[in-house]
Amino acid sequence: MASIDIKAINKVYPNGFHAVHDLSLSVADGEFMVLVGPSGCGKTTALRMVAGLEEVTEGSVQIGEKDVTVLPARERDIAMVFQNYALYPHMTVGQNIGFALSLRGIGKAEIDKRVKEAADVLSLTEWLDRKPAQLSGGQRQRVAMGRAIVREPAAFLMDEALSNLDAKLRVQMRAEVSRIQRRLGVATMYVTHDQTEAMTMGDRVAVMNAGVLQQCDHPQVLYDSPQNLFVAGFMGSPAMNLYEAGLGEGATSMRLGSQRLNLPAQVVSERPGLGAYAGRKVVVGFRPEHLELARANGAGQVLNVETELVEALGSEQLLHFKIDARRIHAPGVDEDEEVANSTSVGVARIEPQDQVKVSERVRLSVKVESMHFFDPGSGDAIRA
Amino acid sequence: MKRSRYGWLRVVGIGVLLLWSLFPVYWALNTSLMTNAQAQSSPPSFFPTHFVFSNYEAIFGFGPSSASTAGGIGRALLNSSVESLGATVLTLVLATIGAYAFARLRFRFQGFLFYVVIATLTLPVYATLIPIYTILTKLGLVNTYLGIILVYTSGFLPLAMWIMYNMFQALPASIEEAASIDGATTLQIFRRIVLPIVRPGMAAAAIITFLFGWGQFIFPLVLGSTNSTEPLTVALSALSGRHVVPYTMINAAAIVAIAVPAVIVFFLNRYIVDGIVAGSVK
Repeated sequence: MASIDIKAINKVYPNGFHAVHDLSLSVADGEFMVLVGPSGCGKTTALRMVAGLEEVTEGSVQIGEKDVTVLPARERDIAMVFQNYALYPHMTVGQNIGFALSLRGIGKAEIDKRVKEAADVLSLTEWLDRKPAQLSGGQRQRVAMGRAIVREPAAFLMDEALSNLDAKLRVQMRAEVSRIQRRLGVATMYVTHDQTEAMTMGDRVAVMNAGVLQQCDHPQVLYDSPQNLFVAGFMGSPAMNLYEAGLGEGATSMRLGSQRLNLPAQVVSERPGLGAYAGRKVVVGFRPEHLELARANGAGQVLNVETELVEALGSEQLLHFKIDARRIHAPGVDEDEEVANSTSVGVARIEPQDQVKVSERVRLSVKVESMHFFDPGSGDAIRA
Repeated sequence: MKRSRYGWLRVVGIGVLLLWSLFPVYWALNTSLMTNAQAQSSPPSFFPTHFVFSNYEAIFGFGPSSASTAGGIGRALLNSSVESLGATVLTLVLATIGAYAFARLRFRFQGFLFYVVIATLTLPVYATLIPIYTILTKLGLVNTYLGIILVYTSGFLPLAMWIMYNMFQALPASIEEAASIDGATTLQIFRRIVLPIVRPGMAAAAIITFLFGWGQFIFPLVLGSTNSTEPLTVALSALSGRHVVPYTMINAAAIVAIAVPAVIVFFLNRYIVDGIVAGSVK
């Protein structure tokens, strides 16, 4: 058991592509660290550098007390779960799990015992004599886990370990992987493009974009105080509503399209940096849960919107609406998502009993105190 | 499978194809079991009226009417086996190692070199016959097993390598990465993970190489002019004399020559299909 320390690592491919820029991360012993970001953001490359499957161009990787930067993978005492599981197709489940032990010259009796223990933890006992081809996707995933845990390695690395499972199984395995990781207490780096997985599994989450670490913190902190537009747009589903807005003189009000919202003094006092943007453009963001249907007698700030679509999810409804403000897309967020987003200009979470029809004008009250403000040029959050 | 309206057409098509390719084999078998007189009777008979095995006895050097190359067919059978098997083993070893290098390592001019190797498949073999003869003469390898095995290997290597290359390409790199993380050295990965997985491809490459070797004619004819290296194919043609063409004996020898590949294909054709299809289907 050990910690993982990544110090200013860089990856530059022979063709000049700079995949990872000065990434520094520390994963404490027993900590579950999730690396999340859109495809091509460098998260998998970073993980593979820790694994020893990719050369480190610059910087260093330390596992426990040992600098492993130039060590081959087999000498790093790590275990890894691959997206496609990478099971050995010609070996039985038992042989797959025990392969690493047999390479270490451990006796057959001891291997059998440890394979059985691992199989017990993962409910694989009755499948030990099967070949991977005879197993379901979920079982294969568990064999890959088994191969990792039987070793009692210094660190766990997982690369999109649940992405090949169907949605229901993925949710189930999410909890199971977390449970096993806590039970073993091994420093873990988990790569995913799925922000829900990141939120639910990580002790801490490192958000990456274009090879650069954007923010690394506890999931709730990322959600509540994103440091920039990218993190704001990436974390949370449905995504944060982001619009271009004009801040009024003295920063006491702002203009969102043709509408005006007053900014209480508290908003500016909590974000002293906002004063400097008075009379200028900012990007304003509010999460879908910070909007609700305005009650007739309700006080507070109100936006007039046109409803476009209502999705009933049982516990809540997602109201897609249009307003005449310019929507801002978080830089680097998946193009697929962007297309999906552009059809729905904004989203609000409303109560399941709320009655809303499509193509009508409704009033939404906004929790202005919970709004996020970003510099339109740099994308950085405006706070201090 | 769904039966289409034109299903009968397929049946007829397959029937014609089978007749086309199997009838000559049947005819050879038929003739090999006849006496010379029977074989040359007119109209030809489609079945031997009584089976005679004297032709087989003769080509192996037994019985009264033994061939001019008495005992030659037995020796030729040995020669064919040694040359085909030798070429198969050598080809397989080189193809597996070479294809793995092309599939997994990164080196200069890799793509170009691979295409050059594969492009040699398109060379008409006869164009290389004379140069190869000259080279073997200089090396003192004419009329030796080694010479013929080397020539076969050079000819069959590209196809075998291409089959193995496709196998390695279809093998996800992550399996080897997983093994290296599990603690295996490069050699252990190759022996314990990679080779067992690509075994069907190796079987296919081996079978195809062996069959090619077995069927060679012009190269062994030119490169081995004596009984000591002459394979079945050449010995077979040598059975016909200047004045007499012993049809029944030639056909008996042909049946012997066909028997070996027929048995191989009958029992191992599963591997041929698996090996060739590998990589095309996930």
